[in-house]
This record gives sequence, structure tokens and C-alpha cells, in this order.
Amino acid sequence: MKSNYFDILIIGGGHAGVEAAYIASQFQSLSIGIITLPGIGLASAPCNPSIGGVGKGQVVRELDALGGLMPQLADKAGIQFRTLNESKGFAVQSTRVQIDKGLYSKFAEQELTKIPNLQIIYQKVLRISKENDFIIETDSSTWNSKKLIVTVGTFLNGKLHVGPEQKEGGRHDCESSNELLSLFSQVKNAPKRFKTGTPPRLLKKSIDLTKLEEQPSDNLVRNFHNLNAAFERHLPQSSCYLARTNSSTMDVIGKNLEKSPMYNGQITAVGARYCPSIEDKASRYPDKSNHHVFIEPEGLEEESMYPSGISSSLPKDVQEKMVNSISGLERAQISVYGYAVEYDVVDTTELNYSLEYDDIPGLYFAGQVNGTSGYEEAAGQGFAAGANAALILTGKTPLRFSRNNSYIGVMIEDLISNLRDEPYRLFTARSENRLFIREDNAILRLFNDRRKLGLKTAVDFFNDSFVENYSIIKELLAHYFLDNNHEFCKSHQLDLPRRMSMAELLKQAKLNPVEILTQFLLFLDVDAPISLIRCLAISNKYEGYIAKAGDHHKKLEKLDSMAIDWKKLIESENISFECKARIKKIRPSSFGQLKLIEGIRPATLAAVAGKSF
Amino acid sequence: MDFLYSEDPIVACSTGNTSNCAIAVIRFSGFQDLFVFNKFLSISANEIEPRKARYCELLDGSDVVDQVVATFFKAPRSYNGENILELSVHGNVLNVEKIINLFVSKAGFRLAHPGEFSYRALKNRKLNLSQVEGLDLLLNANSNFSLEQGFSLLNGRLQQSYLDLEKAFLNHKSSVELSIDFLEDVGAKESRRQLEETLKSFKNKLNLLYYRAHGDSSKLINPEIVLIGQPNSGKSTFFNFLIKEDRSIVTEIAGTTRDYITENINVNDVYYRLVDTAGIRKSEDQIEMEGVRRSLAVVEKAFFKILLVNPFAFNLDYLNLVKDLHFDLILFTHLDRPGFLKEWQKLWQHPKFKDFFQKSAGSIGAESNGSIGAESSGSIGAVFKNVHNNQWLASLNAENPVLLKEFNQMVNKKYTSLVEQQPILLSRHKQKILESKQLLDEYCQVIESEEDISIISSELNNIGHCISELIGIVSPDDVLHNIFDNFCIGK
Repeated sequence: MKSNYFDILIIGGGHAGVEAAYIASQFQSLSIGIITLPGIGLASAPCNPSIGGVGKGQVVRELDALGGLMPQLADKAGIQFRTLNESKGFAVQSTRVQIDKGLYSKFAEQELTKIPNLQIIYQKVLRISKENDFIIETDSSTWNSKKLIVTVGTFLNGKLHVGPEQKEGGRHDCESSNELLSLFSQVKNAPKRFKTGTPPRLLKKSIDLTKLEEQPSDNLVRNFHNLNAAFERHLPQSSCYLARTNSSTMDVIGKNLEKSPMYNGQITAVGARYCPSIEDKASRYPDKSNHHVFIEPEGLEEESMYPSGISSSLPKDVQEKMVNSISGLERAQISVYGYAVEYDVVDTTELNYSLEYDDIPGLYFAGQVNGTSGYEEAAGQGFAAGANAALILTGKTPLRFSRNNSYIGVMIEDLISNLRDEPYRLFTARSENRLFIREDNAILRLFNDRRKLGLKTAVDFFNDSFVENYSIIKELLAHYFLDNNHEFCKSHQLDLPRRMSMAELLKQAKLNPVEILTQFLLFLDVDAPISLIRCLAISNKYEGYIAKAGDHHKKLEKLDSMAIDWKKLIESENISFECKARIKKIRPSSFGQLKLIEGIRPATLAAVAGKSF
Repeated sequence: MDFLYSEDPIVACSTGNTSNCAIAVIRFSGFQDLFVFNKFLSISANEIEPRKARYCELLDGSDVVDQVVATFFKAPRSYNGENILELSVHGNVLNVEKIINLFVSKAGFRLAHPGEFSYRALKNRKLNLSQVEGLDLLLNANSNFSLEQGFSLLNGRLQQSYLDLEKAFLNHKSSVELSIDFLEDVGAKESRRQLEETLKSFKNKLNLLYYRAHGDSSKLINPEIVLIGQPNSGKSTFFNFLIKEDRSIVTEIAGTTRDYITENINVNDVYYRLVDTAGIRKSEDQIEMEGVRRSLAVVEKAFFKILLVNPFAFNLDYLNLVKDLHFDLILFTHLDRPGFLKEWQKLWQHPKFKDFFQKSAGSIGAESNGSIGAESSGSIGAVFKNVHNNQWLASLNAENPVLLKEFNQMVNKKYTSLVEQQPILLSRHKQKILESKQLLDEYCQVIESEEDISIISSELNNIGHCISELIGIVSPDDVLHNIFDNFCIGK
């Protein structure tokens, strides 16, 4: 049966699966299939109805430079745009877009359906085996594929908790798949199950928005997708609202803490410290009662809103009391109760840089099944797995994303070199190279990787012209000299200490380099898109700092590349038991890898640094 | 450092082997098993239990070489993680040499390089870098203070204060990261509070270490008292005067250079190296100049500097050579010669000398009154001004205890005042602390002027690198070279 045979088959239609399917199917010689559970939309948003955020916005722009789908969907379904960390400097500024989650999913389906070499299959997978190819048995048929990408999210042996109520499932609205082991006995689980949670959804009409602080959409935020006009909006814009918990909210939680499955032992899985449930906040910060709650729209026509910051698995009546204690939410009705979900994750230290399972060539894992949280992280991995499976099949070299060059690279290296203790989310702090890995220069950082895919689409033409114009204007800025008598300086009341190049002028403290450069190019009558101007101005500003940090890096790299013998380390009496256990698990072969292992004490590093093995 | 990668079995005498003594300990390390000693001992290797002393005879073929006590430390539970055998032998230098030669020629051992036992301890994670540095300090200590600090490094106490500094740094670093990645969750006000609080705590910790590191404590490791002056100014006489007092504990160290001779003296239980420099004077002679330069270099790093002046024959040009040295004591000699007072006053009131004295002695003014006596006999006659308490003192001969007492007090006072600050002695540590402090100052300026948090964070990272090096996360090559080159043999 020809139609049951694929080059690449993807299990799971979430953000990772959709991204993998989209990029793989750009290779038109390949036949791609994506199997997803019936009843839920593709690329749905079961948690925050937003794309982007600190660290994550960078990933979305990386995906755009690489020709991914997420940035296109986010622009199209965007109903509130914001720049986070706006006052904190360019390198850490990140874009976040609230999406209409229904439309986002619909647009995803439209895009994928359009692709001729991609087949969408709505079935439930029961078993996977491997002979020469992978054989996937579902509830109604059998499929074969050369490569298999598993993006099953929280569905591996998923279990839901709302107070004492428990049921099998990966989401409140659908059942879970089986244990990983029964799907695929040769694949290792991580030793700990992970847990994530979501807050109750509130009916919009029952909220008194007038009591809350409004945060409207910012029309000066650039779209993610470079081929869209920078400030074009595809949908009418909406607002977010800021509410705050108070002492009676915390009282309600405190009194009912033992009813929370996370505190009475019902849930044993590990949640992320950076994404605490409101129960966590109450018990960890007993002195603080004032926590932010962002009330986010879930869609233009959606009846419910998403209160970010009060994720909870408390019993239903307690959730109601807690919500109603908040100013503005006194009469708020809950449309869907908050819940926690536990699920199995794959041991990602068994994966390689392509996210391929080391011992089973052709099998890839991406997204939440790898223990990450976040749609953007999932999409980034989906892209890497999808592109690399396709590159191998078309006889090309797979992409190896570098942690020095992209957040996708940071994430992949972190995942495969370390067993996580908790769900993994990207932060800018995870990168050693934050001044360089920014939103504005995503194209400069990744156009080479995109080029290696060998696809010649509009994205490639845009990237090429961007890079070319970048170097032309950069050259111009280095060689265009001005002093205070220059017309441009006069008309913009610039006071220069001496004659200097435009590149140097843009580095002067207290000037906004983006604004000045915009004016300067206008003055010269050079037409450049805002994305290029930002990239030029900001790269120029950080140049010196990046070079300085680079010097320190070189010194560190020398040490990092030092080979070590982990077997000797675990025999040593001077290394703590805990550190040894981690070393034994990861088996680091260099000092750099040892350093990346979480929980390795400085004392241990100091002991090891003394001498190479 | 060619021994870095060699794993040969090694041997050395671990106790001092330059003079005869009752017992010497010869240490063997890195052998496969005790079997290698079988034919050299009167007992079988099986009879030697780890960490139990065992008396036996040492044999060379059928000849009994010595009666020894053998103690075996089985790997990895030994000083350096290797198999170690210690033989306590009779401590005659020739005997020790004979035994070592026996094992080198007939059992496949080679002589250990200086520091090689400790190097292997480092390699086998028995000691960390800072402990090795401490050991070095401990073994070569000339004063109780450096002895203590060496031990404090060896047992990790000083290292702990570095780790505490690193922790405070990480707390501040975390608060910076928090303000970037979690501003929405934490809120601007709370974030600012944390930034300020953690910076304050980090600053305090670093300032405390800085206080201990910034002084000129390198002079405390091997404190030297240096005498300089023109020829015939009385250096040798004063030198002899000082060492005569306690002849029995003086050990003559063979001069490594002909420019100066040294003796050890004990002042309040601290050993100082007393150095008599060759006369420093201006010279056209190239070779002579070289000697002068070296003398000046010795004086410069000395702990206590004494200038001797013979007012009867003082060339004022000499002051140009020594004007940048800060002397602790200026000693006028030849008190017993007739006309001393007149000559002395002439010199003392010369503007050039006045100027020098003011500069050299810091804030101390040139007063011309003082109790100056004159006697015509005695082995030494001197008048000196204590630049520390601005008092004139005169002492006329060795039998007069005032001069020695005052001298000892002066030296001890300076020593105590330096040691009270608990200075950090190792120059690598000092350098990293000073560097961290400088980077912190720069960082604080950046915070004032820069709003871009990613630049602030990048500047902060630079301090982090420096602190990592302080706690020993550092490429070891350079440090090791330095340490093992200085090591005493055997340990």
C-alpha cells in the first residue's frame, strides 16, 4: 500500500509536530505524514494563549530566519503584541504575542493541509515497532515510515489531577496515550515523571475588567515573520489585564493546602521551580500575599480568559473561593477548572544533536516529551528533528545548532548533555552569549543554517538580501565621518566630542542608536526596513562588549576542552556523593561538560580543574 | 615539568637530609605492590599490614644494611592516593644516600622530583590546588603566621572564605538574571531590592578579602631585614652585633650570590633573614652596576630596611640611589669617633639630607635634638631614629641592651601590625582578589551609568571569571609550574 508508506512520520500534532511536519515537507521529494489524536486541533494552546516571551521570542525569530511556521501563525493569530524588558536594553528585549488560540490552530491546519506531500492522519497510535522501517499501528490501520519523529507532549502515560479527582489523560479534553515502554520497549524513560499545571479558565463576562490595570497592545512591536510588513496587524487587537492576589487569597490556599494533590502525596512528579502553582507560591513565600495575575484573552470570540499566575490543582470549590477573593474577580465564574498533569519523559541524554535516539537511528524525539515546557521550545526542537530527518534522507549533512549562535542550540545542548531535574524552559540566562544571541540579529546568526537546507524559497531570498544590505550599510557607517558642523548633527542637535565615524557615533551612551540610525538613513535617502536598521544599530552598539566577553570565553574554552576521566572522579574521596552520582550518570569527557552538569559544586570543579586526566 | 605524565615508582628522603640525625624517613610511592620490597626486607611482604608499623632488617643480597621500621599505606588511602611505603631508617646522611641508591639501582625506583609526591596527590584528587599552595607555604614557612596560613589553606579554611565569596557573587548574579528573565513575575520593586541587597553583601565579602590582600604581605612569607649603606658605613659591624646575640640558632646559608651575605635571626619567635648588601654606590663599571642593581632589588622587597650612615664619610650623591626606598630605620654609626656630633650635625642639617629624610621616613620631620651620647670605646656606636615613633635613640656598644631591645621592638611592632590584618600571603590569590576588586569597582561605575542590563550582566561575568580562578577553577599549568618549582624535595 503506497499511501501507507512515508519517508518521515510524525506522531503528535502539537507545536513540535507541526513544526517538524512543516519543515520536512518543504523537501518536496519526501512524503511526510503526521498522526494526531482526533478531537483536538493542530498546534493547540492548552496553557498560556501566547507565543514568545523572554528568551522564547528569540526562538520564534530564529525559527523565522530558518523558515519555520510558528512565527507566521503567531502574527496571523496575534491579538496583543508586547515587547518585554523594553527598558532593560536591546539584548534582552523579547516579543510576546497573545494569540487567538482557536484561530491559531485553524491557521495551522490550513497551512498544513495546503502542502501536497503531507498527509494529516487523525488516529490514536497503539504500538510502534521497528524492522527495517518503523511500523506504526493505530486504532484503525498500520503505517510504515523510514524516519519517525515522536512529539507526544504530555500524553505518555499522562494522568490528570483536580483535587482528589484523577483520570488518565494528557489534557482535560482528551485521553492519554499509553506508557512509553509499551509503545517502544527499547527507549529509556527519564527516572522521574514530570508535572505541569494550568490555571482555571474564567468566563470573560463574569470579570469586572474596570477594576484591573489594562495593558493594551503595542502597535510599535514588529511582527515575527520577516515577510510580513513590520507593524501590520491581521486581527483586531485586544488587551491583557493585571490583577493581584491578596492576603485572603493566600488564606484560602493555606487552609486547603493538604487538599492539593501536590502537597498530600497524590502527585509525586516534579514540577518546574520557575513555573510554580499558586499552592507553591503560598507555601514557599508565606510572607508575600501580593502576586501578579495576568488576565489574558484566549481569543477574540472566546468566552473564557486565562489568568496567568494561579495555576492550581486544588479541589474545585477551593479554586472558586481563591479566584473570587481577588479584586475584579469577585463574581468570576470558572469555565474549566485548573489541573495538574503528570507524564513520562524521555531520557534526553540518549539523544544526539539531531535529537535522534542514539541507539535507534531514525527515531527522533521533540517537544514536551523531552521534558521541556513551552510552545516555542517545542517548535524549536520540532524544527531541528524535522529538518535533520529530511536532510539525512536527501543525502545532506544534518544541522548542528551551536549554543554560541542560537537559543535553539543552547536548548538542544542542554537537553542532550544533562538529565533534567525539572521541566526545562529557556531563559536568557542559559546562554553564555546573551549579548550576541538577540532577536534583532536572528537572520545574521542563522542564514547559513537555513542555506544548508538547500530550499530556495522567499525566506532564502529575504535572508540573502538582508545579509547583503547589512554588510553594505555596515561598511558605510564605518567610513562615514561627521563632526558638529555636519548638517546631520546640526539638524539633530548632536554634540560630538570630536570628529568620528557614524559607527562610533551610534555607540555614544545616552543616544538611542536605532532612532539615530533611522534618521541618518532617511537623511541619506537610503531605504532600509526597520528590522535591518535595528540589527545594524544594535549589533554596532554591542560590538565592543561582545569582543571583550569573547576574550574571557577563549580562556574558558581552553579549560572547557580539557579532557577528564570521569571514572577517576567517581573514585575520588574528595568529591561529594551527590556530585559523583551525577557524574556517573552523565559520564562527562571534558571539563566543559562537567561544568554543565547541574548541581556540580564549585568545590568539585576547583578540585577537577587542578589537573587534567 | 616532564614528570607530569610519568607514573614511575619514585623514592626520596622525606625528612631533612642535609645533616645527620637520629631518624630519617625514606618514602616510596607508586609501586604496583609490596612484592617489589620482598628481597630487600627480612620479613615477607605479606606480613606488612597497611598502616601498621613493622620493624625489620633492610637487606642488600645477604648483607644487612640497616634496621628499619616500615609502614605501608595502601592505595587509595594514602597521602597521594598511590601505594606508599615509608621506611624509618637511621638518619646518617650517608646511610640515607646508600639506601636510596640501593632502590634506584636494584628495584626500579627513580628519584622523585621536587614536589612530585604532592603533585601525584593533586592528580589523584587528594589535595586541591589551593591545598597544594598551602602545603608549599606551610613547608617553607619562616614565621608562625605563614605556618598558620599554610595550614589554613591545607585544611580548606581559607578556601571556604573564597567559596563564600563565590556564593555571594552567585546570589548577586542570580538577582541580575532574575530581573531579566522573571521581571514580570517578581515585579520591578522587589527586583531592585534584591539587586541592591545582594550587591551589598557581595561587596562586603570582597572588601574584607581585599583588606587582607592589598597590603604588602609578600614580605611576610620570608621576611628579610636588609642593611645597606656605603662602604665602611658599619654594615658588617651591625650585622655581627645582631647575630652574636643568638649564635646557637643561626644557620649559615651558603651564599647564592656574592652580592650579599645572609644569616637567620630570631626576633620574638619569628625568623628573619638578615641580609648585608654589598655597598651600593654609583659606578661607571658595568659589572659593578649590575651588583648595585641586584642589591637594590633585594632591598626593595625586604620586610625591614635599614640604612647605615657614617657621617664622617657620607657622599650625598648616594641619596639619589636610595631615595625611593622607604627605610624603617636610619642608623648613624661611628659614634665613638671624636667629632661625631659635629659631623653628624653638618650632615643632618644639609638640605639634601633633610629632604631625603623627610621623603624616606614619610611624615617624620627632621628634628635635630635627641639624646646623643658619645663614648670613645665599644664595638659599635650608633644613633638612630625610630621612624615609627619618632624617637631618637643612642646606643654605644653591644653590652648596652638598649639598642638591641629597641631594635627587636621595632621589628616586632612592624611584623605584628602587618599580621594583625590576617593578610593573604599567596601572590596568586592576592592577584585574583585585587583583580576582582578592580573589576567590582568598574562594575559599580557601569551600574551608575548604564541602563542596559545585558551589558551590566556581561561586566558582572568578568568578575565571575576572576573569582572562579581564585577558588581554583583555572587552567593549572602556570600555577603548577610555579608551585612545584619551589617545592622542597621529598614531600
